[in-house]
Amino acid sequence: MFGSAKGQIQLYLDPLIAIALIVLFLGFIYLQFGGATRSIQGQVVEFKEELDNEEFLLGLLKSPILDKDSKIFAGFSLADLIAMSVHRTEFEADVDAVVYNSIKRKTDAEWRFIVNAEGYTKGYQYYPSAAFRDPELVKGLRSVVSETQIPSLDGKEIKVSLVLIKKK
Amino acid sequence: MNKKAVMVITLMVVGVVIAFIAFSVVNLSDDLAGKSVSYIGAKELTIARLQMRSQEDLLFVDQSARLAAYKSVFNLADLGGFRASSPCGVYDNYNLWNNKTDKCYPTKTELGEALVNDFRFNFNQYRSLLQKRNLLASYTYFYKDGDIIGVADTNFIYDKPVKDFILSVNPSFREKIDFDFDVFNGLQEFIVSIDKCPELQQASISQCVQTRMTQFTMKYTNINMTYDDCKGTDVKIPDDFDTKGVLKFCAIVQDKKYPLYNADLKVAGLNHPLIRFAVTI
Repeated sequence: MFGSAKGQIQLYLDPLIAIALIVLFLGFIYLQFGGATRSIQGQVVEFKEELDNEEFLLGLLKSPILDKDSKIFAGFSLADLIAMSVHRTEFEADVDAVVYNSIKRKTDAEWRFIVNAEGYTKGYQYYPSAAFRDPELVKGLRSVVSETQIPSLDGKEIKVSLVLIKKK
Repeated sequence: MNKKAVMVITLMVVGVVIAFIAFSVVNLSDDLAGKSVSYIGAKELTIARLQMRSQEDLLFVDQSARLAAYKSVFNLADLGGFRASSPCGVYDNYNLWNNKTDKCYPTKTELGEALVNDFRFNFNQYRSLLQKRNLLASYTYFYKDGDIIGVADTNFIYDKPVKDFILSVNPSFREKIDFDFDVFNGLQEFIVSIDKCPELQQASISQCVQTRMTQFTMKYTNINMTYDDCKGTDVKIPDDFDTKGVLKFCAIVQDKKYPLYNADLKVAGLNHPLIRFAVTI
């Protein structure tokens, strides 16, 4: 004899509940620690990109700009030029051109970096740099990948961003 | 199923349920308390980001020092190498390098001191931007071998994002001025050379000064000198020169241009620092 009907159900139910709970518990553990592993991996990858971009941006800002067509800028750093270019001057086009041509970086066939500077000009209006006034470039705007502040000649702050742009 | 097996399974079920509840309570209580789950290595990443942030701030300091130094070079040239008024007096807003009794050429030491003094004022304006970001540091300034040196007496401290961790960064700097003070020595040489002009006929003084100036610019080909208003080389010696006996000069170093912001016009541009001074003949 195999006992009563209640005993029969109990016989099958207990192991099933136990197995279900164990599976649930293991799943929960996996999601917690597996998720953590993925999260930290994601953060490391993200940080590495962030660090590369930041180093690139800071290195770029410190580098002296040597432009064969505009010897007047030789010896000045990109940050110097940006500090000048956010103010509208008679040579703004030249400065913007030098900045733009000096910093565009061919990363691969699809993408390139440019630097954008935002500051306040006379009249205190928001004024993006020349590269951003080009509608063709703005269309392909992907994302700001790094940013920092530099001082301007008139004692204000300029936000400088490294932007990844998709080529058309 | 025997009783022993039932007991083992029951104990296992109870154990798993307790573990599950305990695990859930711990996690849910963090979520309910609004605490973000901190993963292994998150603090280390935050520290590395702080390091990057400190590098950005150091760039800001270096850039501020450079822009402040540019402004100081313009101010120093405008005051003829002095901190303020010349000990020999001022003529028509031009500092005098001599008068009837004394000679007051700025020495290299005085030039360095005047530059540092003006730099301190200009750099403090930029420091206020850092202070707004709670980056406090006081500086001692020096001028040495053509460089302005700022030695920070206190460090930038980054201590908020990670508990029990402090990042301390020294924001000292050394900025190359790239403006040769020997220009002032050359100009002094020119002034000594025109000292003898009054010994000639009064009518010839103008011609004598002009000749000396030509000789000077032939020797110092990178320096451009003019009389009076700095606007050109053909400016005549002013009519009242005979009565007042004072000449105003302007000099520029042709290959030296620096960024300057004109607060009145609200424009920035690259300009030559104008060395302005007056001489009694």
